[in-house]
Amino acid sequence: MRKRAETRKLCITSGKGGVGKTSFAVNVAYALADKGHHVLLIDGDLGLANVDILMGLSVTSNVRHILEGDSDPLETVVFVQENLGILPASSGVPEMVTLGPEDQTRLGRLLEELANHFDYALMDTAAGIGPSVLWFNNFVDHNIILLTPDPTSLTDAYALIKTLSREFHKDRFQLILNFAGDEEEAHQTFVRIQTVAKKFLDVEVVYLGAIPDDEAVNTAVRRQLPFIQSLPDSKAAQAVHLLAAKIESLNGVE
Amino acid sequence: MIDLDHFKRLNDDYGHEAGNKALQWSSSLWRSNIRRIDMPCRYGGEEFSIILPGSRLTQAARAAERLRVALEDAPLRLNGDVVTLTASFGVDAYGERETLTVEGFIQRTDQYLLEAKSRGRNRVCFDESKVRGVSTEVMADEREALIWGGGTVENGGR
Repeated sequence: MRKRAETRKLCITSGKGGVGKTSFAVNVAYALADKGHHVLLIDGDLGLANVDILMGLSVTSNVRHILEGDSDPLETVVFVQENLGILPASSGVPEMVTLGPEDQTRLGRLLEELANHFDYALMDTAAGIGPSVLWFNNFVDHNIILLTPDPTSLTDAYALIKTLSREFHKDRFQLILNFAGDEEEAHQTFVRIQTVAKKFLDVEVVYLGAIPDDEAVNTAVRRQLPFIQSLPDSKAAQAVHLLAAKIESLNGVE
Repeated sequence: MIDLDHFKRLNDDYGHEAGNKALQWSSSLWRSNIRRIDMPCRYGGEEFSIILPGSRLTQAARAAERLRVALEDAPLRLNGDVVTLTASFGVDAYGERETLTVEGFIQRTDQYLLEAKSRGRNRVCFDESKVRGVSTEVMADEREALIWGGGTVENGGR
């Protein structure tokens, strides 16, 4: 497989769980692939893998096998289409939640090598601000934070931003509002977090866009289908296509 | 890293035998105040170091404070005088993401010991910004501004 001149590493993260992070990661991966890019979707939820469930895949080997040296990294990637590969994590392996320093270094090297084969490496992290979440956020070039207008989602997203800025000196974050009511509500939520982040942390929060609340999407998720394929005309699918275009326009490495 | 305060003066005033006694006194006090897995070492002269495996910086700093107080509270009888010994402590933790060498890490820790000395001795110094849990905690004013709005960008542009 050819090597890419410049791979963009992004992670999709949220602070709070249940904001539709994995669903967005899967759908935006398809959207970027639709634009002709080679995309790798990495399931960074090492403790409770779910990208494979969401995509209806059955996998035999995973990140854990690679770390233990039993699998060739590229062979572990499941290609759902020619230019879209998934690197599944393992389900229910609790010790993966807290990787030791050696495994962290190996994981970094391994992912870097793998990512080189693609235009985009998207990482779907676990919820919360645990060690693996921080690790993936530190690893990537762009940090995409998904949140809902719900106040707890807002404060959890801010807590994540604060931790990343204080501990890893990250100073720029891309924000996506999921399950947004209307454009105004979405914008209001965004302005709040942007203002507070600027005032208290002196970091930049950039508004990438919003995904409207869409019942059809919830149905698709339950049926384990990426809505961008099964419901291409839905508002949510269109929003994800727009977001993919925004992601394309992000700089390579800051 | 630990350094006995005014050790040279003690040697001068009471003699080397008393100096040796002070070293033994402090080290045995410290040894009885640490865990079995901790490793006390004499680093040289009146300098000691204790390795506290698996301890976070906060725990290590707390342990150092305990050792500092233990020594301060246990005066030693030297040539008929009651002498209060004190020591200065520099504390640091080797984190998961560190790439420092052993020497580099000791050097970094030594800086905190120097700081303890220069700030008047008989104290524990460490990087307080690393342990202040509040540094990443969402504070009340931030939370309020997030939920109720009202915050304004005061330092617009960077």
